[in-house]
Amino acid sequence: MSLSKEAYRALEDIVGPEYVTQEPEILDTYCFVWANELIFGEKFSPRPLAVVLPETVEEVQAIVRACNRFGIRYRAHATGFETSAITSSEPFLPIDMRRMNRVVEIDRTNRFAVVEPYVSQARLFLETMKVGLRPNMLGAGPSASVLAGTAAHFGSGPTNISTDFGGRNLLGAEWVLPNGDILRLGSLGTGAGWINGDGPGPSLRGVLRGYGGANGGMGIFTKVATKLYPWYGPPKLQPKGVPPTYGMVIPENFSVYCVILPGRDKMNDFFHLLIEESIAFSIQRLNPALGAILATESNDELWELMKNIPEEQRRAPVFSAIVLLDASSAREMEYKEKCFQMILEQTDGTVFPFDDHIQGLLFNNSVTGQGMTRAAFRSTGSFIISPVGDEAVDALTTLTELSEKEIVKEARDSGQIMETAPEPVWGVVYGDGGAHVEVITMYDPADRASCKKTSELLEKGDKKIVEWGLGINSLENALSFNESALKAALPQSRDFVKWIKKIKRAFDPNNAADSAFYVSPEDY
Amino acid sequence: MALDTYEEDMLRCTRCSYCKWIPHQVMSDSHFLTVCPSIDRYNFHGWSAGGRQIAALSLLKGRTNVGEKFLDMIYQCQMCGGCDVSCKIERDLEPYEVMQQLRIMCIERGDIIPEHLLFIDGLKKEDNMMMESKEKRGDWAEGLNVKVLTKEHADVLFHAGCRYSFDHELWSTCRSALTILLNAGVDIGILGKEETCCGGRSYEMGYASELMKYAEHNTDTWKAAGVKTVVTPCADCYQAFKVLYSKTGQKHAVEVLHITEFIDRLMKEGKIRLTKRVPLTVTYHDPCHLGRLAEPWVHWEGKKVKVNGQMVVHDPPKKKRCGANGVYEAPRDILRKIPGLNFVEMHRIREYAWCCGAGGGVKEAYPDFAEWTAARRLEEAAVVGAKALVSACPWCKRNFIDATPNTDARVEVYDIIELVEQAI
Ligand SMILES: Cc1cc2nc3c(=O)[nH]c(=O)nc-3n(C[C@H](O)[C@H](O)[C@H](O)COP(=O)(O)OP(=O)(O)OC[C@H]3O[C@@H](n4cnc5c(N)ncnc54)[C@H](O)[C@@H]3O)c2cc1C
Ligand code: SF4
Ligand code: SF4
Repeated sequence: MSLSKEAYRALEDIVGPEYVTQEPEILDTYCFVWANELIFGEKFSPRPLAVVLPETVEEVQAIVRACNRFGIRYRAHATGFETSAITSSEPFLPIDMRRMNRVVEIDRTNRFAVVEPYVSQARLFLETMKVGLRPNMLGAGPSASVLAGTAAHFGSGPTNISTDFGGRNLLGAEWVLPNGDILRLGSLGTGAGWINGDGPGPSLRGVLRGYGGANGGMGIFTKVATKLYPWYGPPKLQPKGVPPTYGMVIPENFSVYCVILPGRDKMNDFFHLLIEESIAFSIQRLNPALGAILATESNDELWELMKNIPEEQRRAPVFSAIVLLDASSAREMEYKEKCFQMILEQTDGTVFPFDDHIQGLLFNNSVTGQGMTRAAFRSTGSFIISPVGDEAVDALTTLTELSEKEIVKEARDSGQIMETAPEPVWGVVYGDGGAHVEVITMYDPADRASCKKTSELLEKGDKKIVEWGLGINSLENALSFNESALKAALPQSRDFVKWIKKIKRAFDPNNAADSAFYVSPEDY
Repeated sequence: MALDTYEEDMLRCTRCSYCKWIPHQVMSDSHFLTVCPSIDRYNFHGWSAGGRQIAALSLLKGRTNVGEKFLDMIYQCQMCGGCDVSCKIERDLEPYEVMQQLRIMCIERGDIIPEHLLFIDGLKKEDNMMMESKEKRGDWAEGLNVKVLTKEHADVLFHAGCRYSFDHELWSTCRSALTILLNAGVDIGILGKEETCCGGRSYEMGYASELMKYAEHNTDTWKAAGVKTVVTPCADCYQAFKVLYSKTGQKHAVEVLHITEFIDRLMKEGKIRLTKRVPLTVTYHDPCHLGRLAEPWVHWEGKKVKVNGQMVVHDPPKKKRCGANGVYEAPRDILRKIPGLNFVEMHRIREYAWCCGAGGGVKEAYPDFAEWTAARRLEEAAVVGAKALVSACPWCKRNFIDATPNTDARVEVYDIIELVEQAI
């Protein structure tokens, strides 16, 4: 695919010459992102055709129409942190949405916010705290786009127990369809505002994003409404200390715990009881290695702490979770604390006694997702998640156990990935009893052997999860490039694949929205 | 360390874009969340530290050449270091060093910005970055009864710097600085027309050999003059003397102080008293070169090794420079002690302060961008209710003054010396 002079001029006419470019040195900064080396064997994916930065929905619509007219594939992104944002096997047109960055509305009474694509979680949280509200927070951290996590790419995060995940938070949306038509989702389509993402008529919410999100393969969202939830903390959080590990003052009526459970079954019980009692603000299952990276300022500091711990101890299984409780009053907190203590007693859980500073870090991480980037990337330079599961709590503990035995242990023993305690997992729990779990592999993108081992592990993850009967390794897995996970799951999911491909064809007759991380229109 | 020694850092950049924001923990107002003027003004990812890691790798891999756009991409950046602070919160990488080495490599290859070359030619001929004649360097001090240390001896050398020496509008501030110290009884002198550039600004443009030259020259001069202390009212010079000279391995036994540190010390010793009221609501702008970039250089020799499978550590361990150890308290202490003065903080301060816009060769090559950056800062000052913005560097002051017509924010601009003078 190439971009004709005429097509480039059309883009220039739409956004102005300052906001479109074809300069190779600039384009190279749009084909480089973590994990590219696993797909392409090098850091750069094919160089894009051009990059364009629209400012309004009208400009977005005109760009999409031009793409359809000139036969150009496009895909929108926000900050572009996700591999699925700017990577493709063929040159395409990345649409960088950073100029669309308005918080359009915060409806305090009806508890929702309307945002454009480049509004970050941190920014919306700052705005909503002022009125006693908060959004769902992705584990991706404060820089992630609210819109992306709500409409385009999964949306799991520490607070899912009290906010549910991204897909459940999507209300009205302004959607530039792959062919350039504009669809106003839900109540917005009847002039009734942003409050409902479903009606009237059959809901299109599932078509827009489904469970995992279309990763840009179903057009461009220019505004979405996302639900908000009560925030009992102050209008502003209070940082303390200095970089790189700024601390955070834990406000009144919040308490954070690192809980160690004696085994898998007890951990399942612990999560079930927390779901039943609805007392938690956030819950995360966190492998101690990730927690240790999060709590230290550098790998050097971490290694100084670790190196004298005997290897057997470092490799011993630990079932740990970070739990944050919140309450609207001291009395409610007292009740929640009592309830929490009873859950601990029933599950033989113990609380690891961290100092104030580390508690502040864990609090901040639980509330904003800050620190997961550090945990994922600092030690070796990059990470992947595979297998990734979305299932009932118990099924996911089985998934992590099997992953450890059949995939991770061998890779770890090879020395080609970061050594962690068994089951290097990050997981969250939903209020409805479901959960999300990611098996995390940290590898060195500058080391070929490490990349090779990680690619093998990724491929195994796609196959094994199907073999175990635990779903498809693709729901949140942005590395399901060119349908790799779908293909691995074909025997079980043929109907599902057939239908999403039909939907893709119906909404995107020219196959203009790049689907490298969604589905192609062609049937198998 | 040459650019290619950082190749693994470039490969480990994840394109997370954290370098575009102030650290998330310290965000306090949704209008002031970003730290990088470059990406805010030019928008394409290449105009960010993350983008420049990729550009550097692309160049090393032979994917791109250095053309006009490439040079704009790497030079439309103030080298303010905000990105480095934010990146290091999450990562063990050196994005700032990569950008510095990329500039040095461009110069070595002869890929030069013509506007910078004018200033560098001037520097080579006249020992200053203002394209002025070195004969006029000491003129700012005319009429002041001060020792000239090429002929006399004093314990303390007052180094005015290029901007103060040649920017006539700022002369009175520089004169006040020296007068305050003289009146406090400090045994102080100047070098007059024998003073030279510190080399810092040219280094940021990528001219590493100029820094070496001036580091050697200046430290030799200090030795010959027998001074114990060098004090400067210029944040750029301060950072060059304190950090860059140390980075180049230039050893000297002279204490380097910024004027704010010296005044703060003299106040604590009771030699300067601030007694007059200055009824003004002010905010303080941390100059990058006095703040995060002034954190002492960390000397480290060793290698990176892998432990625990693939974890990358330094052997021996290396201290991370994260910007928290700059000069932040001295200027604030001074302001808080000025009677009648109401001191308010902006949203982006200390190690995560927004830059004034004048550094990194931007004022010289892209003056519009420099002023655009300063205008954003003046607006931030106005938002927190300040009637005046106070800085501690002549480059900041010059750029803020120049930017004033570009914004509706009605904020006066002072150097801290002027307020001290009013309060004495
Ligand atoms: C360390 C790390 C941790 C992570 N943790 C989580 C997690 O806990 N939960 C989770 O859900 N995700 C997680 N992710 C993935 C994360 O959700 C995305 O990275 C997140 O959306 C990033 O926001 P962004 O602004 O960079 O989005 P981008 O990377 O820009 O976009 C994400 C996807 O959405 C699409 N998209 C973006 N904007 C639009 C638009 N306007 N219209 C149509 N499509 C669009 C893009 O094409 C891309 O496929 C994690 C990623 C990393 C690197
Ligand atoms: S330089 Fe650092 S903060 Fe910026 S994109 Fe790269 S890793 Fe992220
Ligand atoms: S040095 Fe300053 S202007 Fe340059 S990339 Fe970093 S933050 Fe941006």
